[in-house]
Amino acid sequence: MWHLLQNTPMNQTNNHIDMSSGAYFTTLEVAKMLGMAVRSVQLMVDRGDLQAWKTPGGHRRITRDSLERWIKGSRAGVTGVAAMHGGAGLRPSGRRRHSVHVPRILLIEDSAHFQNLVSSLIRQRFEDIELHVSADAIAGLVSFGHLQPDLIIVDILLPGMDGATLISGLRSHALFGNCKLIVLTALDAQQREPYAHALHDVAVVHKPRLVQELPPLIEAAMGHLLADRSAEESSSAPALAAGGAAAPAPAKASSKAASKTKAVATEPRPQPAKG
Amino acid sequence: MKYEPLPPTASGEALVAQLPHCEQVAVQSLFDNDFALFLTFRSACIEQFEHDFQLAASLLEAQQDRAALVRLAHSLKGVLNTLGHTEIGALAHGLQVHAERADWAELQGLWTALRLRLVAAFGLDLSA
Repeated sequence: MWHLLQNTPMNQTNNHIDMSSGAYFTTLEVAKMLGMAVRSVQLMVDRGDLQAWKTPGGHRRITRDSLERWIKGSRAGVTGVAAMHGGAGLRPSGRRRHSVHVPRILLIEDSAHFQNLVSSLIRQRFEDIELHVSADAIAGLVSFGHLQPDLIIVDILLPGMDGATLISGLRSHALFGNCKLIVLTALDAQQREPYAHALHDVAVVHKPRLVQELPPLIEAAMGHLLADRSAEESSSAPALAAGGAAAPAPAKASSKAASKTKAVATEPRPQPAKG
Repeated sequence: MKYEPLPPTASGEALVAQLPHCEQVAVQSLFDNDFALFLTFRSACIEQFEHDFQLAASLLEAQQDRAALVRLAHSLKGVLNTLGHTEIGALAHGLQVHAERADWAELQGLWTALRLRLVAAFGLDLSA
């Protein structure tokens, strides 16, 4: 099972209309993104902190530009009080709750080339991992709030807000919890210096060495989740057998997730690549 | 989980042997001899180059969004270095650096030089 789920404007075959990739966001989307209560976001709009217009039905539509300015200007990034206001369905650890946990990666990368390479690599080597792709920092923040991934792989040079600013914001997000982080960049060590403030204690992969360096880092960050999943699936097998061959398979979290985010590509696993 | 690439096969080795030397080096040194993954990536890159060409043409015509041109050149630099084409990657890096300040006529010249090298290196069809 391998899924590529994308919410980016780069993939024009995606018929799903996703506000998160457009010029405007709903109040709920911004609340999730910032880890705030919807009412707090409404007040920010009323105060003029965020620019918005209202639909004929009276719903606010917040401009992407003003949100980007606010996040950059605050430096506190997404300060987040979601643990109080938006975390009803969360475990104490802040992680999402599923009957079977699907290991999930969010890739925030604007280059279609490297979206392709990371997708191919994960499809080939981590068949149980669900990959979601966002093409810029704002769309990435929206997806982070929705998906609560186990691992974020983020590029540094992104449209609008750069990856370092994004990382600073994510780290202060109430939902960040145990989420792991890997930075992917074509910048050399000297070119990364302006972003050093956000890269402390973060694994950085230089893009040309992606194939060699990324898989071990994913394994280190998510290996325990993959092992947990194997164990969960193994333990459910006898129950299925006892229920007879016609017993339906238990609903998997992946299908639940796919219902939330448009799946633009669900590809069969390639030939097992074993030596 | 330990992943090991497929062992070389006659057809795989034949395909790799047809690649330029710099790409063969990249298969060995950057892709751990995983030629299947390399060829998959290379093929996807060739498809994407067409979109990159269109984007560059529109950016250079509009002469407004330098940041987008920087990002495009930066993306190409990373891709070309990953594919082993470090010489062409250097051209992309030059475009990235100059895109922040140089006049648009100069940027057009830099892009044309990069584009021609891409076409030659990957056998791209200019008429497509």
